[in-house]
Amino acid sequence: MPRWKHAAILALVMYGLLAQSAVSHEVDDEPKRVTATSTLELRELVGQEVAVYGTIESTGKSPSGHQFLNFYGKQVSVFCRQDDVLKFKDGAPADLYANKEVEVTGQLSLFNGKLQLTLTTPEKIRLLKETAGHAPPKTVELKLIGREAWMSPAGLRYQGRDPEGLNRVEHIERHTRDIPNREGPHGVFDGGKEVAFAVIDEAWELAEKAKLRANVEGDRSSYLVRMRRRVGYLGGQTGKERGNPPLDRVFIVFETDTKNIVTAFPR
Amino acid sequence: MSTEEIPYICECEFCEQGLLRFRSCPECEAICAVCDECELVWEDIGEVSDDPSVKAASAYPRCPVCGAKEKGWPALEFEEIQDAELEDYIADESV
Repeated sequence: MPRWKHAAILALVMYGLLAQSAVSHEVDDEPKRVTATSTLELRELVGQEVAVYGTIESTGKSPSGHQFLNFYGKQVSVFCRQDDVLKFKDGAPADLYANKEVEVTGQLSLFNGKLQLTLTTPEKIRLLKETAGHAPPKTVELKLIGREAWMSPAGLRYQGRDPEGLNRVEHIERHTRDIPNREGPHGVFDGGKEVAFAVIDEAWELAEKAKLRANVEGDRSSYLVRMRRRVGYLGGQTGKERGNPPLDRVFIVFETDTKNIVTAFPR
Repeated sequence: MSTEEIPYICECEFCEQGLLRFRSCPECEAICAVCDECELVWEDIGEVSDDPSVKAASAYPRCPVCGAKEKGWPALEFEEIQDAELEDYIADESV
């Protein structure tokens, strides 16, 4: 074979290999997309570029010009340096994205033990949906009414223990964080414990107002209340398999003919 | 051992979230299926294993066998389930 033909074939092979490597490199570099409430999964991605999506619950500006966006639940925040803030020509990120559903792509790190995403350019944040008018639900404080017995503002009682020995408050707190290794589904409330108890109160009041018929099975009854907004997401192994979809209903189990709550979770 | 690692029978049809685990009444030691979310109790493990929509016999802590309301029913681990010859009712997906 003439030397020029040999060189041409070699060049074509090399070009092909390089092109293939560029394509696979591009695919490999696609940042993982994770909901802001999947904190356990996010902690495993610290140090990587990640696309995090969710609702911005609050925002802040530091005296030195840095800006912060806090995802709902305050488990993940977005940090935008003062010199990067200047790249946003349509307005400051803290003003543009408050109470909005966004996806932010950036380097994930831990700051004071908390998950932090760095926003460097306007292209790294995109609006998913406006959620203004859907302010986060209020929080409630349970009143201690006896030994390991609490009452909510709506008069719901949390007393007794589950078969594992957890009191009712501790049991419901299990539903304010994901248990990714749990077999089956695990409904997780957005916003932490205080918001969860407020949402349960709200769901109970909605059920009573709508004269919802409880599903009764002996000593246990339940309400499934549609909240018409996201109240949490599906966790556990089933949730992980389905990409942790959002949930907009609250399922409440109570002792029949009482206001004694056994459990409650998003469903 | 965490609850998540304890064998279960099936998913609960009532609350659609809990898992039915093998637990024994501390009073009469009867082994029942108890949902770890809504706490409904099934006396016949074979029956609920075959048909999870079957109605529960009672709710924790009332034992459907002796009627006692003793709290703190221990969950059975795999060896205990084997000793009770109930291992056939462990869900295939269970650890």
